[in-house]
Amino acid sequence: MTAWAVAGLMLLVALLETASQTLFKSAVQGIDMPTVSLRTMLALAWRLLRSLRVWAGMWIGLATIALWTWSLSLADLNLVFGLSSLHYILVALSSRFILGEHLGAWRIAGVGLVTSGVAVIGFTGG
Amino acid sequence: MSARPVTVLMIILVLVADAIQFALLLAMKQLAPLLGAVVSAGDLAGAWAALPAIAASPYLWLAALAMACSFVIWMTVLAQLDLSVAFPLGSVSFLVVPLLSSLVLHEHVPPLRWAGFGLVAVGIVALSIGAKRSGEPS
Repeated sequence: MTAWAVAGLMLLVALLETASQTLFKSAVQGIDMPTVSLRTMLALAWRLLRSLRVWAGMWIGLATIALWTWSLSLADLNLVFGLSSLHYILVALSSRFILGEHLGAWRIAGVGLVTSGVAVIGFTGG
Repeated sequence: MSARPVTVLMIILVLVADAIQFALLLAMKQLAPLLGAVVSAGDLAGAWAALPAIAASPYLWLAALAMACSFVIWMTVLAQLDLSVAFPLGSVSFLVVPLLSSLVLHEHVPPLRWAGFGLVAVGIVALSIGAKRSGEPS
């Protein structure tokens, strides 16, 4: 498999992962959860099982895992891992422009550092 | 909302994610002969016939249980934090296994790779500061 084909496949994986996470977050947006305990956590999960967005996110998430595992068998592990740093950029863009989150300088710096760190770990992997 | 419960949840989540990987690995090892036979035969009837044996794998059930736990934890984290903070925080998991393998198993880690771990670690610190600075969960 050529590097460009791998890059295209990884872009698709990143887009699907971003869609899945955006659906999950949009399903919990606006839900008030003042305390965190086993009881409130299970109540939240139970409530979310009736959300169409959560089910859509889960199926897209499962498809993402399948596609990711398949791409690992086709391409070099380090290339796949390094390109997965793309996920962080797409999720940040989606958080800002679809979910309307406010990205300050610290968050942008954090996303940039994590993205470059994961890319470095991937491409230096053995 | 104090940061502490979310921090604890993120640590548990990383451990659960590793447990899922491990359980799936064991399940694949256990089922490999069976799945290999089905794939090479290439018939749907064979896949149906193999289904009870696949469903009987304890590792697969363990993985499913761990996935259910990670769903509950991840949704709780998302109810507490913005996605732009919570998602990159998950990259902590990339630090755990390589760091342990170098510290415990004394595997050689090239200097550039250490730089990668450092970038991720500093990024996580920046995100934690950013989580407090730019507002509350919506």
